[in-house]
Amino acid sequence: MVCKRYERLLVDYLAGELSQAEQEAVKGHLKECSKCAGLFEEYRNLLEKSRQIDISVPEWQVWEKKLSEIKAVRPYRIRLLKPAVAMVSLLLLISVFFVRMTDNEKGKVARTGKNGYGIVLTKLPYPEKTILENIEYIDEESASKLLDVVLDTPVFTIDEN
Amino acid sequence: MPDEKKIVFEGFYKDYAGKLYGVAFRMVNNRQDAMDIVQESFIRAYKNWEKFRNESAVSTWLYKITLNLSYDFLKKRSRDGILPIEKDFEDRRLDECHEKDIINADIVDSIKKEIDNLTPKQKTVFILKCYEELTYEEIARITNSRVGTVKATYFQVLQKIRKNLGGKKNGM
Repeated sequence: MVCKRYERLLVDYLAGELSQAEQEAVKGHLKECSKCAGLFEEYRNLLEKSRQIDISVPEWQVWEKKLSEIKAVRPYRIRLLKPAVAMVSLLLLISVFFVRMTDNEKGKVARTGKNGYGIVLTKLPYPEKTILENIEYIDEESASKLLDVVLDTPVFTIDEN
Repeated sequence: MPDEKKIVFEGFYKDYAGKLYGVAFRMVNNRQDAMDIVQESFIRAYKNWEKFRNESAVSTWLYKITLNLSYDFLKKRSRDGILPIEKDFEDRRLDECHEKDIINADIVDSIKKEIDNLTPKQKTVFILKCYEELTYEEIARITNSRVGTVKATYFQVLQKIRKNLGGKKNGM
């Protein structure tokens, strides 16, 4: 019967995982125990034959081509910046929109074609139809009094047709 | 990435691409899939390169990611019911015609089949120990297990293969 304690030690010995003292103990035991010596040979041959299962690794040229593909990939740090830049751009756009909303055309005088001049009561931007529904029409003289500069250079013209 | 770090990365690539291919290939048994796994491992490493502190951390990480990608691949293949269509092991039998060599090739072939039948975890330990010649401690780090577990697994694998090959003792 093979010495049970030694079977594990034989595998560890072949794995190069034993201390010097343990190696000496195994060597000593193998000299005395023929069954363990036989088992040792079996494991040694098993590993030797396992290593004969060779594989063909592709040539360096193949890996070199792959390397250039890898290097074309951007590191995470830069990739993470992309959404950050997008977010900042979006915030800038939103703030510009709101600035425009507060600095809108409300209260300004519009020349509305055949109905003459009117004061825009709604915020811009809106479709022209909405503006026309929210306009207080005034005569040219009133418009002149309200915003005398507008008469010659109206803010904008709305086509009612 | 600074040029200096790129050079270090390339050095690692040269040292480990073939090794990782060996691990991936032995896990999935298919050349193209193994190439894809290695490629993906290095892409992930490249993306994270500036985070790595030392060589040991990089090699452990590379083995780990290659194995994880291999496990994912095996799971997907098993789920889809696909069998590996290509084997790329060196077939030495074709070059040899002596009886002794044929017997030896037969044993090697049987061992290959035994390895293929191991669980992914057992296969991992066996590949890393037998072919990569890593220590139990290194394998434990890569597989997130205890050294004792790795040691026991390796012993069980060898014992199992030896017992299953019981009838083919010629040359062993």
